[in-house]
Amino acid sequence: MEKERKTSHKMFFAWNYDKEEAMLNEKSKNGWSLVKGGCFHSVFEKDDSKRYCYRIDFNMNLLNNSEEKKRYIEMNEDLGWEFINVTFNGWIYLRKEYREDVSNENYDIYTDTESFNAMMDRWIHFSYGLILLEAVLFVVYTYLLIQSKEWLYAIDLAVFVMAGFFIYQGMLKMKEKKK
Amino acid sequence: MKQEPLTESYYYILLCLFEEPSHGYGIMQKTLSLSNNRVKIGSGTMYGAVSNMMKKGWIEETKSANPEDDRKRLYELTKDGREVLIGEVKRLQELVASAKLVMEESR
Repeated sequence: MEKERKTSHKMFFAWNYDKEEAMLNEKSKNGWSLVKGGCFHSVFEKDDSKRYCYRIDFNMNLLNNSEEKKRYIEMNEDLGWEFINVTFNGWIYLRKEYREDVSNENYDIYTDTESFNAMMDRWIHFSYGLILLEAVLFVVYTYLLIQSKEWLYAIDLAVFVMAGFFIYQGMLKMKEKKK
Repeated sequence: MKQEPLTESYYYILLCLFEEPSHGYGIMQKTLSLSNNRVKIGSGTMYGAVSNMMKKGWIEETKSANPEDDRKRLYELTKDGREVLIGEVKRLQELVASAKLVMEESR
């Protein structure tokens, strides 16, 4: 029998990945298990017989490196985690069957401060790149604006400033999560 | 170059591979039993540590010699990894020896 499916477009930014994790676990309590995760497109399937514990990981090394991805999946399966999918920008969705007699800390995928902080740093470094990109675009478009006197470029400039600032505050939030 | 102290996860992974190659599950189980269930290595920590130590050349991937073993990947200690582990054990012994000197004197 086909299982009932639903799609969610609820959006989570990188620095709220832990809130997304909590949402996935909450949904699984009600029988909705994730079959494909994403930043603004997730698919759930109704199955009341199973309850899962979900974890989200971030690692861009898996992108464009199929051997590394295989090794990652194998290591996780070896330790009891089912790999669901990885998004185009390196967010990884994992799950394990939930058991009430197992304490929460047994579901930690990062079991020491160093490796947890390393995950935060992977995203923080990535965000530096994004902020730099916004800065470069800002300079280029300022030049275009001065050259052409076309005032519509001012709208682009405003967008770059806002995007840059938005990512910057996200980066600060991510830094606060570090232990 | 002076070797930095290892984290507990790195230390136990190297130690678990000292006698023979192993896979993720084997390393996790052995670490639990060696440490009386104190040190748990989660999948993210294990993957990160193993990747990092492969880059440093302390461990490498190998295949099982036993064709009946369906597990594809095993991890094996290299000569460098062995030296790092032995060096770390020496450092830890030195730390304990220092503590003994101070504490037993003050008794």
